[in-house]
Amino acid sequence: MIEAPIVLDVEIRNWVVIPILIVLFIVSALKLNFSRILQLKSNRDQDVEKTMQMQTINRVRRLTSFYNRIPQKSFFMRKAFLCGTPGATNPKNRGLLSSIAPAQEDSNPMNMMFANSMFTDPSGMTDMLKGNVVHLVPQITMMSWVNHFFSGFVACKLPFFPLTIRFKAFLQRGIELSSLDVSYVSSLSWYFLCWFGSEGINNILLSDNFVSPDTQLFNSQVEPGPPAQQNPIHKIYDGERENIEMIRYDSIMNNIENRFLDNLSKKTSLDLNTLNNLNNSNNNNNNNNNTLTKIQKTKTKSSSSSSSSTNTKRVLYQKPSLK
Amino acid sequence: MAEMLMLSSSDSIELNKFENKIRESRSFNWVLVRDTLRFLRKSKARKSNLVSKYGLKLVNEYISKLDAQESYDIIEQVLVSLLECGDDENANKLFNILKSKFGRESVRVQRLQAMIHESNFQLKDALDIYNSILEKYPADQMSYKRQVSIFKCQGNLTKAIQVLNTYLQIFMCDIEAWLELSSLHITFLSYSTALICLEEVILNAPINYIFYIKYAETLYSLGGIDNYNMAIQYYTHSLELNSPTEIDVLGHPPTYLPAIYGIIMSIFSLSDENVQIKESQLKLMEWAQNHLILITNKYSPDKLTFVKHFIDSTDIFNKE
Repeated sequence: MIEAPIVLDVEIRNWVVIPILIVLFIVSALKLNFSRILQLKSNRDQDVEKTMQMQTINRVRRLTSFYNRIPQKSFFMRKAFLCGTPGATNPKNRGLLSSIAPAQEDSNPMNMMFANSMFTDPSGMTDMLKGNVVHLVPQITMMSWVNHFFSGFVACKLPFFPLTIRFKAFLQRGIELSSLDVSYVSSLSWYFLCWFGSEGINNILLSDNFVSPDTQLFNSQVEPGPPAQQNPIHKIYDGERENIEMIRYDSIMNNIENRFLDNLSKKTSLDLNTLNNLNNSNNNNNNNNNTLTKIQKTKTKSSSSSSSSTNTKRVLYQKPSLK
Repeated sequence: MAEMLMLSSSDSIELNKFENKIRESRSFNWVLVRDTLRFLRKSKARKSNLVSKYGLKLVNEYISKLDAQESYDIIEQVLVSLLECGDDENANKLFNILKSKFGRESVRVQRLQAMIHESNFQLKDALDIYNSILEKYPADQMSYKRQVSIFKCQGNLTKAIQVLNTYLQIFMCDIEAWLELSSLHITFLSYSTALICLEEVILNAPINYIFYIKYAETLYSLGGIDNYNMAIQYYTHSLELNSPTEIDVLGHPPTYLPAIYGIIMSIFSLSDENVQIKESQLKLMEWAQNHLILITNKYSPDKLTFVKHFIDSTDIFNKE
């Protein structure tokens, strides 16, 4: 059975299809300019204090992990700077990590979360709001406009090829007619098609002032602000301060000379052990016993004897390094 | 210099590959140049000559083939390296492109404007621009750093230290800034202050052997028994991180010579202080002297006499 083609009124083309197209284009152009205006006003301030807090936490964490690389004196100096001197009453001496007074304690965790996420960082929220306003409000108004005036219209027919039944929900939104061929497009669906398809056309037509996300980045600040804070900052500070206070200072520089030389000979001694044992085992023992007092000896003794003793030692260390 | 210190070895190898390819290719290979510039932007290495020479050609002749977004990044990159090479004329041309595209309001364009001022020695104008940027965006790292370099260029080191101090109060994990501050303090011979800065550097980059050498050198310059002892320890730790046992594996001459010379000099100076030198330090001295001769023999035999003289003059074993 061949379906008789539906004749679409010319008026529908003139008063539904084309107006939707034009209105969509105009709205997107307006949206662009509108968002530009908002953008100018937004210039989101980078929160210096917040950056500083993040950096402080970072620095303190590094200190707790790598404290053994710096001398004891320097470590205690930093500890005093960060945690304060014990028993200090003067607020200036209480240290960087105690400098932030805890905000009023709220018993309700939900409230706390809310307060921290929303009210302490209003700039992020307003930015989000602005973005939503620019993109969402026109969308909603346009949709309700199309839905109100043009619901139920079959706006046009897709040429070329027949589509499967699954496209029905996509192409004939607003028309619940099971017998209608899929290639007919309802007005609401026509609106959606135009909306999704208009991005590229806008890009070409409005290219002078079209602001793509990357250019926005170029215009605005380069460094992104610190990520949003989950925990209240003074709690993190407290935790870090405890971490520092727990540290029992121990330097990796202790006895480093012996460790270094041991490692050196260990790494290279595998195949040289035999050589050393054969040649120098006796000398080696003697030398090691004597080295502590050697410096006095060399000062008094004649140079020849000392140089001979050092020569044997030189042989000892030269071999590993030759390898 | 600091930038080169930050570059990891795998990055620098790749960089060399790129550079060789570019210099060897007979015709201008714009894809290769683009990739190289991309890599340089990512690794933050500084190759002003390369970028200005090949990048300028890329921007002038192949701009239409580039991705629209990337092309402006490339223009900025080439512009900066042109300024570094002193090619103001071409830099101005590129700047006009960016200015007409993004307008005067853009912070990055303003920054470039200030840098052009700097290269024309209109330092005051540049400073004004940086200040105005900082008023708007008080956490703009780049503007702080440029200000420091301007003050340094004017010879106003106290002011440079001041700006760096305020900068470091905010960005306390910036290694380069700490390094810069330490070198400024060293020019004022305030070694103990420089040491504090270098400790911060070490905490931020605990496995970089070069910073341990720098720290040890500053300790040595400060002098005194404790500092000499500590300097020896830090030199040794630097050797631990940049191990002499891998000398044969590496394809290049050893990079730990400063540590070896440092150990010899520190122990030699320590022996002047009339203290008992520890057994382990004596062993270390022995090893350092032998290893120094070994290296010299292998890589520059013609300098052997100098090295031997150096060792003789610092020999604590034969000292009267």
